[in-house]
Amino acid sequence: MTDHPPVEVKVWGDFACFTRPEMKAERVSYPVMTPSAARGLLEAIFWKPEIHWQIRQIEVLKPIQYISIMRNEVNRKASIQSAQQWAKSGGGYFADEDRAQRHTLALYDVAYIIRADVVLAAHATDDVAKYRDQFRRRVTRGQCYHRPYLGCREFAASFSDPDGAERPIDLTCDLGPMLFDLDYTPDRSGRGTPHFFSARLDCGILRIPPEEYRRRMSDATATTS
Amino acid sequence: MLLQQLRDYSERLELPPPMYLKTPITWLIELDVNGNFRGFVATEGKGGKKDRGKEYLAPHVARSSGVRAKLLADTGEYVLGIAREKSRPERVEECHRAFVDLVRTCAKETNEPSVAAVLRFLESADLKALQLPGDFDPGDVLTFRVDGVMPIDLPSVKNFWASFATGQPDDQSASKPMQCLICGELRPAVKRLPIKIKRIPGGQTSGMAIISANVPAFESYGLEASLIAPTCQDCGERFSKAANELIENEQTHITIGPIVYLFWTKQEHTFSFATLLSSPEPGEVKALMSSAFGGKETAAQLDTMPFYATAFSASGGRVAVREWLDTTVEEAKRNLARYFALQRIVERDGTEGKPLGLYALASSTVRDASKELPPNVPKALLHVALKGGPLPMWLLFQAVKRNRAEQGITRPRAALIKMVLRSQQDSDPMEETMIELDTSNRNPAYLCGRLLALLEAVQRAAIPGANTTITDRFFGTASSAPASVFGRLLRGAQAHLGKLRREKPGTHEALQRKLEEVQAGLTTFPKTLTLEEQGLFSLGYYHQRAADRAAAIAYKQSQQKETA
Repeated sequence: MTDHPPVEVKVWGDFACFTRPEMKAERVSYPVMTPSAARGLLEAIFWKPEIHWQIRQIEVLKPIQYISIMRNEVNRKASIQSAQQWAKSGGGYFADEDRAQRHTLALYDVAYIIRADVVLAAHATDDVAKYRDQFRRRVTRGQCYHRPYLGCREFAASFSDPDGAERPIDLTCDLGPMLFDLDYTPDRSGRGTPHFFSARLDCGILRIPPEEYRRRMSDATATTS
Repeated sequence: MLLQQLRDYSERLELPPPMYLKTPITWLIELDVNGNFRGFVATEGKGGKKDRGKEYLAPHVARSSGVRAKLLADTGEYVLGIAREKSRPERVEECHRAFVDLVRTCAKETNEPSVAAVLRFLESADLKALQLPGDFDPGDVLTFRVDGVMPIDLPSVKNFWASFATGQPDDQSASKPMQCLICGELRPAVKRLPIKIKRIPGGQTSGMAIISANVPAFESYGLEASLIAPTCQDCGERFSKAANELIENEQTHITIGPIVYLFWTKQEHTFSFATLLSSPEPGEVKALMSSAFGGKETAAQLDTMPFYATAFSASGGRVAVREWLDTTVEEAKRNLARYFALQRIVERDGTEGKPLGLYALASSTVRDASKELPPNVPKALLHVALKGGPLPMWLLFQAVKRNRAEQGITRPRAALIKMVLRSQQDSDPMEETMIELDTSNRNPAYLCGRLLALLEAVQRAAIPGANTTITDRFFGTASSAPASVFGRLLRGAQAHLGKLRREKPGTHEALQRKLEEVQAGLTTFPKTLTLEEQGLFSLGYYHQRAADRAAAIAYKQSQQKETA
């Protein structure tokens, strides 16, 4: 898979919040897009059951700037049962009555280039090149399944093919442990275990260690077998 | 990032032993080696209700509604089983039992004679019949002293508590091993953080947690409470204790309005950013500026040590991180020097200005800083002080609005306006502009500001002791729409000038000359002034007043010399 050039997409937006799990009630963003956020972004543009995304690297194109905002967010989670109840006997959810003021330390004016590989699932029969080409066509046309976003749904992302003139910022530093992705339990309960990797910005480029994906692959085969 | 750096900082501190915390203890129960009761000793003079006794390092557990005893030092309910008025007797009974059980376990494990003595006392003495001190409150914290030895200080007791409090097999707070997001190791994650962060303005006095999911919407991936961000016991305890230490130390924090700012460096460093920001000494500031802009020698002693700053505020029972800065001491110093250079402005009497503290600058934008200071104001200033860059224009708007409301300008506000205006330009911060009256400045807004000051001077000279001056009435309009008032003000001034010509020809001469000089630069009065221009107007006014006062003082002194 690495002998093919990765697919690439440039994404940008006014705001972004890649929430750190340790500070998620009062949100604080990671300084750089996380691999799981990049994965979500690519899935918004193109996804099939036959493929999954493997991020190679994320290039940071604009200086890292924080902005502090207060927002009203809700306290409760949506529950399927009560929604079904409303459908039958009326009622609904009034966000105004269930609010909490929460602070967000977000990023603003961000732009990234994501480079990633398409990895075929075990049951896929077609060539991987098919999916890569589909993805590239979709990016060029600006198609997406749902609007991609930068960490939070509120922070919509624009995307396009890179024009080749982009240069990552000149910043090299350790970012500490960063959320890599979640390992979900196979029982479909939605319960997940966050997994972290030691992130490092190298001349504005966050490289995702490929062994993280290999670890997941081997975990997945271990749980299914 | 933040939590890692705090954890690292804790390595430099002399931290209390694991699961020990500074606790005010009101009473010591004196025992002899056989566990016989000798009496109560108050740890400090009973200084009224507030006095909760001397602070000792004592065993600690995070407790909410459940019954959980602290080892050997706890409230009267736990230690002696004496109920408070509102407590349920059965529950207190249970608390006391838990406490005695804990002491028993400890005595068995440590084999300390003093702990055994405490146990003997608890088991044999009739606690209900103890002669209590008159001002005893079951809510007070008690501990024991056996023949001059405090069992809580014994190393073996500390060790016992460290392993007991963190490693209870039936403890609900520990979960299966997860990857700790601070150290990255696979360790049991704590469900609730053991130590809370205290003294954040507006927060709960018992402290607050950084990591917490206290309502369902904050939870993630089916994980609750602090498990959303798996943290091991050691890291959790360390970063919380480090944060508390920073908040307690004068050198490492400043509290402004609803926010507390913390500063620290990667390694030991003597330079105190907190004191310089909160109460800058002119000498220190001068030294800082000359070392930062001094020229070549600074490059040699480049201080690349990492420097961190963060801002915490309270949001309900949680800590909100409002700001996170990660820079180097060198860069922070340079930006701080620029910040002080930007705010240089003459005093009201024309003498050289003293550096202003962050609070003075921030509070100049509001009427009553203790009540209505928005957190973003000091934050924006602090950001520029440590990270550089321009100050936001909304600060200028706030300041100008305040000028209009007060119909005048104060020195901190003049300094703030100058800072906003100057920080937009990317010039050498040491360049001497807008510090004092600049007679070469031909900007109409600046000249209008000067003119208003001069017209006020004319009025003052003509009618000494006037209750309301033209500034009191017209500053707002003059600073935003000069064309609509200056014609009227100039006409009004003619009468005053005429009076002056008759009564004080010298003063008249001097003022007339200044008026002509300023008006020469003004062909017409601008209809409206933009925000920046309104800022310039205020500076023109402030500078002119300062220069006039300086001239008046100089004149008075020369007169005194002549008469002497």
